[in-house]
Amino acid sequence: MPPGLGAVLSYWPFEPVVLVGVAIAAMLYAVGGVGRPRKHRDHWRSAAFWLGLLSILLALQSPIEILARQLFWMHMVQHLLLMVVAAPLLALASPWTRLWRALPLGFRRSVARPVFLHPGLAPLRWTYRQLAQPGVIWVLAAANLWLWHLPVLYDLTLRNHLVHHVEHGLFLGLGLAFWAHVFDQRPFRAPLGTLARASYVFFAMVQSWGLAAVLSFATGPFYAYALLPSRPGGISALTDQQLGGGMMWVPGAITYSIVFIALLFQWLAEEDSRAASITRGHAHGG
Amino acid sequence: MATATLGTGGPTLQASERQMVLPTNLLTGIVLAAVGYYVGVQIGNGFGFNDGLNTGVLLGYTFGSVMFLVGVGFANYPLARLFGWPIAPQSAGDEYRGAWRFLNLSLDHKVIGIQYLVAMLMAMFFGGIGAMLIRTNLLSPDQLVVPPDKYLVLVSMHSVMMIFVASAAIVGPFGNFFVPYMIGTNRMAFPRLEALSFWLVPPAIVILLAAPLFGGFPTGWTGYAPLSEQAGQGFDSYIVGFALIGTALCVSGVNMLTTVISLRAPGMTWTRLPIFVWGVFSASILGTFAAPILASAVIMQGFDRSMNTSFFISSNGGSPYLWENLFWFFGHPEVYIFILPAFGIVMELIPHFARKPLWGYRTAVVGLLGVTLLSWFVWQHHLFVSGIAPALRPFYMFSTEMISIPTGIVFLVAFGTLWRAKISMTVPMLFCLGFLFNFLIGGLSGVFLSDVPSDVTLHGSYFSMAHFHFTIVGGEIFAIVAAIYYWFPKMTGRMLNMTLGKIHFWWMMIAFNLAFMPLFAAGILDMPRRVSTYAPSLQGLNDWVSFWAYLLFASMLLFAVNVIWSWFFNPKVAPADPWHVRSIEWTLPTPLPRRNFERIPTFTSGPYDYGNPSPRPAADLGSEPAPA
Amino acid sequence: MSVDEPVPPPFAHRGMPTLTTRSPEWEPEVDARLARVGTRIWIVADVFFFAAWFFAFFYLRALNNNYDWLPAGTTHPTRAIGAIIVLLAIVAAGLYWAGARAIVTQRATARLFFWLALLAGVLCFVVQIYEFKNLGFDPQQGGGFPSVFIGLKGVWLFQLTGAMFWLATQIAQARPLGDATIRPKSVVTFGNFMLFLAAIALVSYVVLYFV
Repeated sequence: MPPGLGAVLSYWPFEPVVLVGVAIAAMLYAVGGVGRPRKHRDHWRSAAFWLGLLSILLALQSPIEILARQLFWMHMVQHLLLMVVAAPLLALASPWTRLWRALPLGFRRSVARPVFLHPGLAPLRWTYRQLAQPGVIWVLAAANLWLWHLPVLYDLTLRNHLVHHVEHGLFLGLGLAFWAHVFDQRPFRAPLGTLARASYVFFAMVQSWGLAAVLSFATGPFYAYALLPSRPGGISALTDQQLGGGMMWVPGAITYSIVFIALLFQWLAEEDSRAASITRGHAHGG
Repeated sequence: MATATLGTGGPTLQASERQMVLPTNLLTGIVLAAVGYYVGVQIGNGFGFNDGLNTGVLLGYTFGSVMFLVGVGFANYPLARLFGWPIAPQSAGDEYRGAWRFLNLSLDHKVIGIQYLVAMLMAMFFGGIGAMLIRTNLLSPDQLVVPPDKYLVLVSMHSVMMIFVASAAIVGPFGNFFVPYMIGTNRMAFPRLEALSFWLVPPAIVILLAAPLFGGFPTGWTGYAPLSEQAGQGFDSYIVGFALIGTALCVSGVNMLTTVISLRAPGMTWTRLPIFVWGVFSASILGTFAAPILASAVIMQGFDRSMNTSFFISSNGGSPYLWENLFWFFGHPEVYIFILPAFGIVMELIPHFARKPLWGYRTAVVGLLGVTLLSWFVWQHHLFVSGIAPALRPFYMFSTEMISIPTGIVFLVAFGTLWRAKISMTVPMLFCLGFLFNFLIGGLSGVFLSDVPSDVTLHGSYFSMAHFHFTIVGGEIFAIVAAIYYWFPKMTGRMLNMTLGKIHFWWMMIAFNLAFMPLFAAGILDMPRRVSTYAPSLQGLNDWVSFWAYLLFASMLLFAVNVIWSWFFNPKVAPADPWHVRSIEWTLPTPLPRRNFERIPTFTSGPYDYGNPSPRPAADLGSEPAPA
Repeated sequence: MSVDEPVPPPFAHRGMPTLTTRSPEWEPEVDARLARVGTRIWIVADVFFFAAWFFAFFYLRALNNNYDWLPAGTTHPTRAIGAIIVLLAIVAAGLYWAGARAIVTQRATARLFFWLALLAGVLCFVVQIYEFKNLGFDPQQGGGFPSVFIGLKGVWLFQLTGAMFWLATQIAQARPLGDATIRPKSVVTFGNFMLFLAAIALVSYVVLYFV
């Protein structure tokens, strides 16, 4: 091995689960797009998809993963990349039809037909409909966030790699489900109106501030990071935790704020068209 | 003397109804207030809590305020509902004539607006006297007016009085008066709450003015513990005064929010709302939800001072940081309560006087709402040097700097509207332009204060003093004056003298800038605020500042002369639409009738539809009456 | 219709907003609808109010300045009494809701439920005063926990008192042709506030007695 390469490689983790997952998603997406005429809108959707996959790699398959084992606030950056960068990007991309199309037609039919039509699977469909409601998803995503920050569970993820993967999977999965109610996932439409989506996003942001406040105002460290003999930069465990809380508080709110503001603009545009139609109706003697 | 211009009054109460309602008016209010104060003091003194803690004055103020409200007539409605008496109709207060109508409980939002206007101007006058005393004291590093231990009493009186004014000076007079017109309704959602929000203000002012009788209080408007707990009886004025003003903010906000949400006329969609209404609406969001936190904090102070609990005393399990966090969690939204209605006024007047549609209306709305949102998570920048965990400071620096973006959007919208416009340089427009200049300086100086490294040196110096005076006085007060010049003809039926107005503008603008600009330098030269003495080398600077401050006060006296003469001594009635603008209140006659609209209008276009060769009227006033 | 023409009020019952003029914007239905919106806004403002007290609890407990969060000799208030207070608050809210559901069809039953709710509320007040007089500590000796306990429960009690007055008004208005009878939606408005107070009581109970 050339000198130095070993040192560089020591900064890069090797996460086969992540690599395989991302590779499969990438291949399906690429294959699914073959032969279809591309509309203008698809370009930024593909860009969002690739950026989303890239951010997953950045979070889990980059030096951030190594540093996350030593620094709480880096670990927070990792989670934020999953929840407020990768998840909304993937939801924005709405890649499901393309991913699905990549699979063989016979396979698709043999899976889709029973899932949608078989009477024996009706309880499954019912459960899905209940779970997919916006309120339920909101609560599940919020509860998931708070639960994984309980010291007993958080420390478990630090010790057990499988549990850690489960944690990341839940952040990403519930994050996708959350953002699916904000960005319509073609061909479905999320049930909430624009103002309701804005409130949905707003209150999700506010509840994360609650957790951020707990982490920032705590007078002692909660997690196993405190057991490390030292941290990069020589900071104390408490400072590390406060930095992590601050990360969750401010940078963690950026995505929510941008989406919230965009939704406000959209709502105002809808009000404008409503105003115009009232004027038209009034002019015609309505 | 100009007669009351708010119409001929509504139908009078029937004789039988009048007997059943408790006879209440301002005089009974004052009498009951005195009785309540006396009773409160007796009860408080009789409590016999730890020696040295006099609960009497605190309870006296509280009971006095409550009995004042009862005496003015606020208990009538709840008691009538409880005991089945006839209730005064919504035209309560109309039976009074002339000036007496403005001195009693009225449920007419127009009367409440005028009551607020007079109260705010009077309170501003008292605060201004305090400022003059401060600047006189600062003519020399030695004490000229008060001994050094009493200087902070002056500072506290001036600052708290001006805070009271700034919280309600736009929403109170102009929000209450004009929002129902602008949204096309005859009523406010909760007229009694609206009246309550006004009638909480006179007791607050009186209680604050009474503080020097008990030795005043030394904490400034921020009321930090433990100084607040060591302070004498005068601090009880702070506690009760802020409790009253906080309640007024919350109650006024509930009323305003419900009104704008529920009572818009057909066609008045959210995107056709005049931007002034958006400014009032966003400030009301902050007022409704931030004021309860202030209420909690001052109640905790009250407990600490009267019952020896220890919320804020660290030797006893409390913490001064608890106060700081609670106070500033309210305090930062509070300063946006000051400025958001001012943004609303400036963005409202500029299109009218530039005869151009408001450029970027939706951007302006999102800017106002963005400021509203962001103001909740910047409060820790007030604690940069007093104990916030250092690791958290960069995050609050970032969020504080971010808040300058939506603020900047307001400027963008204003300049976009002014771009290539035919500007008519009326006096209101002059004050709006003055606002833009002053607030630019004030806002930019805020960016310096948001940076942790520079704030560490500048905190507590005259730099931050200059910052908030440029934003509040140069910003909000200029906007208030613009609003008064603009809306005076509609509210009172008289035009203010515009020649005096122009003199007032230039005088005030020059005096204000020359008085406050050097304070940035004073701050950088390490002059601390709230201290009655300073390095002798700064004497020249301070004398310069005091001189121009006296001239600033004189310019406001000129304004007062203009207001009083035009209102009460000028017989000439103002035209119904002196400015020739499209906003709906100007389509109505002067004096305004008691009932806003005979028929609820349907709004067919926005209020800024200038430059359109075939414009639709802003509203169709001939449509069928629709239920509000 | 001319503004000045007096019209006999349509409701014979006193204590209703009598109108000597008839105008659509002052119809009591409009008032009831506005009250619903306004009460929800008020409840959110009240959430902020109580949030400040809960923040004080957790903040002072974390700081434990001078180790005086629980001063020496402070005994925790008994959970039983605290539970009684919470239960009475919940019972009052529940009885009120039962009355609200019955108001349209069975007015007399509804009034009975309202009276019982008022009784529960008053009992709650009494028990709370009893608890204040029989604390295991003297709040005048200071200490973080005693201060927050007295403060939080004190302000809650103050709001409960106001709510009981409002409840008494609802009872008075539950007569024939009264506001509550004619406009059942206005009854729901107050029910939301009762629920809110009960919820705060429950959260306070958990925080003050178990955390």
